Amino acid sequence: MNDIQGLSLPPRIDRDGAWRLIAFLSAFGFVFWAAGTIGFSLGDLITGLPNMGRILSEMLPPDPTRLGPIGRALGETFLMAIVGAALGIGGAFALAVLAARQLTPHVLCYHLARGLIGFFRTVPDLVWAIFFVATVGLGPFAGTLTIIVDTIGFCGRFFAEAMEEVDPGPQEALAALGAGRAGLVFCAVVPAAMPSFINSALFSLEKAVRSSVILGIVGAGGIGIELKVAMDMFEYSRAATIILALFALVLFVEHTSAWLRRRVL
Amino acid sequence: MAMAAAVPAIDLPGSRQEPRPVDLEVSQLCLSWNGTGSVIDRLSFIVCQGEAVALIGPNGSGKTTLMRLLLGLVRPKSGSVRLFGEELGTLDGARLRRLRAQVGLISQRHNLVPRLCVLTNVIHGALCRSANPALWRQGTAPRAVREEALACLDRVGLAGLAGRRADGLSGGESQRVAIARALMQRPRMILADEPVASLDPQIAEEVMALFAGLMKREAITLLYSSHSLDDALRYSDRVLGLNRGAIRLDAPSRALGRPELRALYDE
Repeated sequence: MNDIQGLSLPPRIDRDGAWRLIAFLSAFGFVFWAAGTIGFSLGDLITGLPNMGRILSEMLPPDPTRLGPIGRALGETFLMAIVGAALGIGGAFALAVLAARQLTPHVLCYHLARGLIGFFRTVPDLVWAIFFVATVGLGPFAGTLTIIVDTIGFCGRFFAEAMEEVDPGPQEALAALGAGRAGLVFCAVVPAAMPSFINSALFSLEKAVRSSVILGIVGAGGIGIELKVAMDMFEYSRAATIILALFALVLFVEHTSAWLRRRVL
Repeated sequence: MAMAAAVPAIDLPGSRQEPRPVDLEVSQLCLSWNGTGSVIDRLSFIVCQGEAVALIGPNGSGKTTLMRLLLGLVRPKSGSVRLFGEELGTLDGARLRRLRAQVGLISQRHNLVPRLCVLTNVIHGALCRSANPALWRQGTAPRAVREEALACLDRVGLAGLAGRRADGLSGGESQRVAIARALMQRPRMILADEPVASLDPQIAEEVMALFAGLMKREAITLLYSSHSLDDALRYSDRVLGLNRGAIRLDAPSRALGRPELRALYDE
């Protein structure tokens, strides 16, 4: 036996550890309670499995007869994503300059810009889509506006943080020689933050393509409405064609964006 | 020579010259951070047109802070800085920028924009004269500006690297590009904060010789801080010694030797 007389072992669970354990158990209990409240049921899932199997079997083989309209709707979805992401990235950049601590002209502008970006980001894109469908009408324009707002919320924060994190040295050097604010932004900050801008912009394009699919469900243009109609009419083989087309589009955008990232960064 | 207190410059026998216009006049300058002890303590000195002045002192003596005060990048607690006859404290933003445009700042870290090419970095020196967005990139800059930038690069021996990206340069090359950018400002004065401190000794010697030679030839007033006592003695007309935010030495460099400068670090 070791001689440890006069020595004391630390407690197995220290004060902080006890609090952490209580917090973890509380969170775990809350998730259980919430699952029960919303009717989460493994039994229902198991009962539904045969239905899933039936629908999947009805999807095969995919129906190629409506490839023309599906292709057009897919093209519209892609264009909505491109235009929305491009305009959103532009808007995000303008707001991000105001939301970057060292570039903002006034602390009030900083808080306003940060608040606006936060608001755009926290309201889900489907809510924006419903709002724009109600204000500008059904169709791809409402979807494009939704993607613009969603992209501003997504990119604005990353752009502002990228600008705040760039080395302040070149900015100080240009400020010391008397360059104006625009000179500082475009000569010192933007070139240094460009890799981060490109990264965020490409992710936002991928995100825009994925969300433009969903927007059609609430009437904001794109292929989503085709998918909804096919599912509602129980035309699962046509729905399968649409899902495969969507998969191909998302895969194409992700691969192109990964290639661009490798080339540019 | 003088030690231990702020003293006026000393006239050596036979050293009387015609008085030159004063480019920089610092008077009773004080600065402290958040009420702690003084960082700069009642500092007074002048720098005349075309003069090369070395600023030496141990780490934390206030050299970098002083440089920032001289450009109005930090506001003093009291005292005044007169640059080319204008009192910095009385100038609004636009007039301060116009005044700064006449002063090139070279720092230890070069501070080039890394992803841009060398020529673009040099052209940025012209932003002090014009806010024209065409000056943001060498590809859009007017031909005359591009040629002037290339000539500045040639003066520091790097015309051959005009198209190279700044982050592909060695330390010595980067510092020479920073000097070319300062020359592009067509400055009346250059402030250099330990300009060769980050370079290895041999390259540091080459860059310092090139830098000081250029300033002398082009009659640009120079105030540079350095930890190299040899550089201070070799390239300056006058040495200012700073310790604990106060001037402890102000004397012509030819009246000084290493022991006098060394003493400043032993206080």
